[in-house]
Amino acid sequence: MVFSSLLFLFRFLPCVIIIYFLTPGYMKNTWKNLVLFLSSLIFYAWGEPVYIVLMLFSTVVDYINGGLAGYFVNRDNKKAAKIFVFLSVIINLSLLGVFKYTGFITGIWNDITGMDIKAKELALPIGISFYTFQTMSYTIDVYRKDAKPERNIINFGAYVTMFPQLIAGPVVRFKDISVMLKERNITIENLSYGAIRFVTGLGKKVILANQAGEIFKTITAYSNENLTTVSAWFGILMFTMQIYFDFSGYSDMAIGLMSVFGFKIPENFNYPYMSRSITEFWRRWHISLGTWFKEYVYIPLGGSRKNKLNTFSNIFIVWFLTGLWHGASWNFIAWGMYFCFFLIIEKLGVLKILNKLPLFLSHIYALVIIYAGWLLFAWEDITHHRIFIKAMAGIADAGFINTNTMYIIASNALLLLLLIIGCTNIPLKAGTWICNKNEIFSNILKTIFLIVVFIVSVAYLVNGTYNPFLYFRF
Amino acid sequence: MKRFFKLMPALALLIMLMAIMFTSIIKEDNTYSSAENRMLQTFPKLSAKRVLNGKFQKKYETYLSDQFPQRDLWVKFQTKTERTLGKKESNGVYFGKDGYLLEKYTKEDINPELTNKNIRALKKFVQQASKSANVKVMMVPSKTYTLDRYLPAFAETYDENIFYNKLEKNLPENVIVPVYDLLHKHNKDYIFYRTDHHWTTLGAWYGYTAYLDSCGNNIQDAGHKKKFEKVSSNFLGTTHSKVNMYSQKDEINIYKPANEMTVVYNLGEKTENTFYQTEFLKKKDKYSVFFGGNQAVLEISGGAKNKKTLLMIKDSFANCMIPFLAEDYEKIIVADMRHLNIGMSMLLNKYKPTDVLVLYNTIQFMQDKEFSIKK
Repeated sequence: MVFSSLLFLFRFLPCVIIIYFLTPGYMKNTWKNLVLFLSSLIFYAWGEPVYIVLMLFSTVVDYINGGLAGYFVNRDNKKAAKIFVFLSVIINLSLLGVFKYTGFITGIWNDITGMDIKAKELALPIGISFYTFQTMSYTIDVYRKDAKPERNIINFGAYVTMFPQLIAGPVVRFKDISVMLKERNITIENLSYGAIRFVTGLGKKVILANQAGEIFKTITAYSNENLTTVSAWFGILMFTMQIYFDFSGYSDMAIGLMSVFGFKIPENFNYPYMSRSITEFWRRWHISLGTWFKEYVYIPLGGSRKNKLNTFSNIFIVWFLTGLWHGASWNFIAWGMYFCFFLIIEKLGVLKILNKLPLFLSHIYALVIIYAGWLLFAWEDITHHRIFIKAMAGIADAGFINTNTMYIIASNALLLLLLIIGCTNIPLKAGTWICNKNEIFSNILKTIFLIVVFIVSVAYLVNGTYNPFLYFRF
Repeated sequence: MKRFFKLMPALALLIMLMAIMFTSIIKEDNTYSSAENRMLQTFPKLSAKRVLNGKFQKKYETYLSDQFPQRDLWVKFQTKTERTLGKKESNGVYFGKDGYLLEKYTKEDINPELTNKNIRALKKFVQQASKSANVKVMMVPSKTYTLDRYLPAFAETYDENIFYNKLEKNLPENVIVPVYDLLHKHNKDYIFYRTDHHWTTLGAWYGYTAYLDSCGNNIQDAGHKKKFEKVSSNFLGTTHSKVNMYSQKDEINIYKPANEMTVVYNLGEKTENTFYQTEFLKKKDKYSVFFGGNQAVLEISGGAKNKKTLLMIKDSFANCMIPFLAEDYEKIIVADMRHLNIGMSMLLNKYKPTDVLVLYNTIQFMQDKEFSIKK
C-alpha cells in the first residue's frame, strides 16, 4: 500500500486512527502498539501477502538477537554479545542480498566468468532496504548500551513494521524511538502538526513530484532527433525536482503520521538544494540514511580520527555502500563514487575556499554538482546517459531548441516556479511570519491550507484513474 | 476556545477523511460511466485464494477509484487545476483557443509502413476502378492540422503534408480532390466540431464543393445547399470524452434535400426515406444522427435521373457529406470497408458505378489496419 492512494486515505488511515484512539493507552501503550503492529502488517501484506512471512521472520529473529545481545552485554560478556550482533547483521544483509542484489551479482558473475546463470527473479519486498537497516540498528544500539533491549515483542514488532516509515523511511534508529514506544504524549499540538505535515507531504508527492515526473518521462521518451539541448537540461531539472519532492514528501507524510500517533522522529531533509557544498548537501539530504552510515559504518571504521588516508578510505567505503544501497545497478555505485570524489576534495581544502566565496557562487557550485549527479542517477541503462550528455553538451541532433521544447517550457513555467520556490525555505519563512501575528488567525490559515492541498491532491489521485474508453472507428 | 482553534487543522483532516470514507461506503455502486463510456468495477469476488495472490486487493483498489463519490466532478476539478497551472493539454488533447479541443497526433501515433501499405492498396484500387469509372480520392485533413490557428502557443501536431506528398506521388493528379487548402482557408468558420474530431456539416459542404470542382462541375449550383437545419445544440463528442471538459457545446446542423429519397440499410436490413436517425440526438453519441452511425452498406436512390451511380468507399467523415451528393446521382452505394467482409474490387463488379469516391480522414486512413487487406 502507498500513502498516495485512495485506499490508504479513505479506508486504511481513518480506520487505523479510529481504532488507535479508541484503544486505551495503559500498560505502557502496549495495546496501542499492538494496533500499530497489526495495522502495519495489513499495510505491508496488502500488495504482496506472501512477504508478510519475511516481515515476521525479521521481527522474531532480530527480537531474539537483540535480546540475547542485551543479555550478554549486561553480564559484561562482550564476546558472546558480539556473536549476536554479528548474526543479526549477517541475517539482515543476507535478506537484502537475496531479495535486492541477486540479479545484479549473478550479472557480474556471468560477465566475469562468461557463464550464463539465470537468477530467479524475485519481486523486491517493499521497504526491505529500510527495515533491515532499522533492525540492524536495534541490535547494535543494544550492544552499545545506547538503548535497552525491548522485552515486549509487540512493542518491538511495532518498531520494525511501523507503517508510516516502513516503505520509504526515514530510517529510524532504535535509540531514537525506544523510550517513545512506552511513553508518549498525544497532544493537540502534535495532532495538528502531524495533520499539516502529512497533507503537505501528500501535496508535494501528488501535485508536484508526479507532475515533474511526468515531464521527465515525456522527455526521456524522446528519440535522438527530438531531444534538443534545452529539453535535455529541462528534463534533468524535472528529475531533480521529482526526486526531491517525491522523497521528502514521503518523509513529511511519515513524520506527520508518526506525530499523530505521538512519536517524534528525526527529520530526513533540510532544504538540500540550498546547500553551499557537497559536504553540506549530505547533511541535508536523506539525513537518516547518512546518520545511519555515519554511526554504524563510518565511525566504527575510525571515522576521520586517524590519518588522512584512513579517512579517505572510510569515505570511499561509506559512499560505495550509499550508492549501492540506492539500487542494484552500476549507475548508483557510480553516483556514490561521484559524491565520494567531491567530499574528498572538499575535505582537502575546497570547503575552505567555498566558505570564502560569495554566497551565490558556492550555491551554484553545489547545485551544478548535485544536478549532474542526478543525471547519473536517473537511468540504469547507459544508452539514455549517452543521448542526454550529448544533447546537454550542445551537440544534439535536434539542435539547441525547437518548437516542442518551447511548448513544454511554456506550459510548465508556473509549475517550475512552484517547484523552485518549494525546495527553498521561503514558504516556511513566509508561513511563520504570517502565523506569528495572531494564533487564532494562524490556525484558521493553516486549516485552509490543509483543506485546499488535500482536496487538490485527492482530485489528482482520482484523475490518475480516469480511463475513458473511446471508439475511434466512428 | 483556544484549544479548539489549535485542534482545527487535525479536525479538518479527520472530518474530510471520515466524510469521504462514509459517503463512499454508503453510496450505491454504479455499473457504468457515461463520461468514460465503460463498465465500472463492482465489488470484487472475495476468497482466501484471491486475497493470497493479491488479485482481490488489486480489484478492490480499482473498485474504490471507480466508485469514488462524485468521480466525474473530481476529474473535472483536477483538469481545471491543471489548466490554471498553465497546462495546455490533457490525455492527448490540446485545449485550443475559442473552446476548441484538439487531438494531438504525434509521429509515434503514425506507423509509416501501414500508411505506405494503405496507399499502395489505394493506388491499385484507383487503377482498377479508373478503367470503367470516374475516380476521385478525398482525404480530409484532421481537425488539429486544419485548425492550427486555434492551437496553443508552440503546440505541434503531426504534419499531414507528409502524407499528402506521398499520396500525390502515388496517384494520378486528377484523382486527388484538393480539400486541405479550401478547408484551411475557411478555418475561421465552424467547419469542425469543438468537442468532436469530425467535421461539421458546413465542413462537409466545403468538401462537397471541392469534389464538384474537381469533377469539373459548376460550384454555383451547390450554393443553395448551404441552408441547414439545426437539430441539436448540446453535442459533446469524443474529444470531450477524453478530457471530460468543455467550454462550449456543439451544434449539429443537417441538410435536408428537397425531394424524398430511399435509403436501403445493409442490403435490405431496413428501408427508410430519411438520412437522419433523430433518436440519436437524445443519446450521447449524437454524430450518429447521420444514418445511425457507420453502416456496412447503404444504397441511396431517388436523386437525379441521370443514370449515374456513385460508389463511395468511406469512413465516418463521409456520413454528413452524403446528403449533399445524394441529389446528384441516381444511385449511391456507400460502403464502409471496416464493416464489410468483401473486397473493393467485388463492389466494382457488383454495382458497376459510373463514379467512385474514396473519402477518408487522413489520420483514420493512415491508421486503418484493414484497408489494405480488403482489395
